[in-house]
Amino acid sequence: MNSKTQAQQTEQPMRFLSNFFIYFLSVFATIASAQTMQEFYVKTSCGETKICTAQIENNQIFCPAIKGICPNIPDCKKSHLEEVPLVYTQINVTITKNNSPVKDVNIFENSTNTLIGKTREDGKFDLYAKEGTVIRIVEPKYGLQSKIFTVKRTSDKAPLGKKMLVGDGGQVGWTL
Amino acid sequence: MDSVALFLFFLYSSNLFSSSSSGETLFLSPMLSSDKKISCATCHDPKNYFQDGKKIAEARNVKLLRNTPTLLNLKRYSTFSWDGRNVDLKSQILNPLLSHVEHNLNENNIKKISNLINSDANTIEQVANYLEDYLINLNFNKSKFEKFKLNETKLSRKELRGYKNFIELGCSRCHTEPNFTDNIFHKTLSMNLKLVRSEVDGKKIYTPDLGRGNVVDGVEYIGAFRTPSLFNVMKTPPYMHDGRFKTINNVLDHYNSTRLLARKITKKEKTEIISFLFTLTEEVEAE
Repeated sequence: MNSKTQAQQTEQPMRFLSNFFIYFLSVFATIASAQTMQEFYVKTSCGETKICTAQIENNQIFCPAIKGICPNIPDCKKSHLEEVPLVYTQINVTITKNNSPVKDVNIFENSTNTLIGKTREDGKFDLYAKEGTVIRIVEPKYGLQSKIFTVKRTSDKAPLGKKMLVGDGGQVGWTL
Repeated sequence: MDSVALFLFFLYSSNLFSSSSSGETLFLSPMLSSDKKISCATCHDPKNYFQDGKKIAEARNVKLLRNTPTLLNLKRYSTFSWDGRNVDLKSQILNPLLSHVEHNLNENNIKKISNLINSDANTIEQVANYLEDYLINLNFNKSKFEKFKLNETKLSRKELRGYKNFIELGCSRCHTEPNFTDNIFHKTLSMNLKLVRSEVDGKKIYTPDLGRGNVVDGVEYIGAFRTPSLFNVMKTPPYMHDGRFKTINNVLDHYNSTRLLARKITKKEKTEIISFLFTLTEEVEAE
């Protein structure tokens, strides 16, 4: 009686811990999935499509306003969204003669002339765009140099663990 | 002690250390560049209404994209550069100072250069402060038009008709009083997406000049440039952001070919408008 009781006594805390761990994992997974950020193509009420970084919470998708990329969209429902694989391209602007990085280079989505962002101190910018998007990058001080390239995938790998494809066209060497 | 006080008083009342005179020294000195070959006055010549009279800016071995604007109208603008990329005068001054295709200054070489010019500016920031102070304190004699507005003088009949035409034709919609600029960006030229050529160290660079569209969002800004003030316009040819029009007549002919005006300008009206535009000339006071 006693040993069974002892075994039971040992087993119960273990079961509790195990259950707690499973419970914790499930809660964590719920939280993690509840706050997943994903890139979507968003169809607005006027028919435009934009790339939008959306947050999924409890199976609802919220599209926060992202200036220049995603106009203010009041609660988008899942039915309005299409998941489209985006191509990741790292834009890297340097001065050709000494390889020094060029900061604050303007990066535009060319067809709408939407300013997507600027290169960082290291001359780089992480671009996520649909294949075929035409990008224009412009030297910030005089607009003397610019480059246009079309986002194109070069690999089917998804190095960042997302539905991303790797693109090229982002290496830019300028003379100024 | 009295002689020391007198000496200090003399020093204080002299302009030796005033920032305006330091600014002028810096502005005029070709030493204010890494190769000691260009000064601010190289492109912004005080004897030529603070501009160079060339189609596009060029100095040393550089040809840039756009026409050098006069520095006489700085107080009339809320943004700087043809595309308004600089929101204040100081940033506009710093651009060419730091650019390695123009003055090519940095914190390492500025102290040495300052010593050569006998300036007490030890940092780029100080240099920019002195230059800004000098430029915003340039003294002008009022233009005839401004005196007319203050009832200090009269315009001739021709000048008055020119002023009337200027308003009736719609020129004043963008060239609004009192500064004769609305400080807004407009597309008044046919959208020129052709590649424009500039040159650095003998290398030709081709790029489309999209104006304000290269600075901010929006297709409406592609090819848009800021309305220039018309003060001193008759003394600062050529015209437009790329200096494409040699004379004001060419400018008026261009507008005559567009739908931007209320109606076509006649030959007589052109001469009257030109007479009126002459009344917007300010004379810089001689030192």
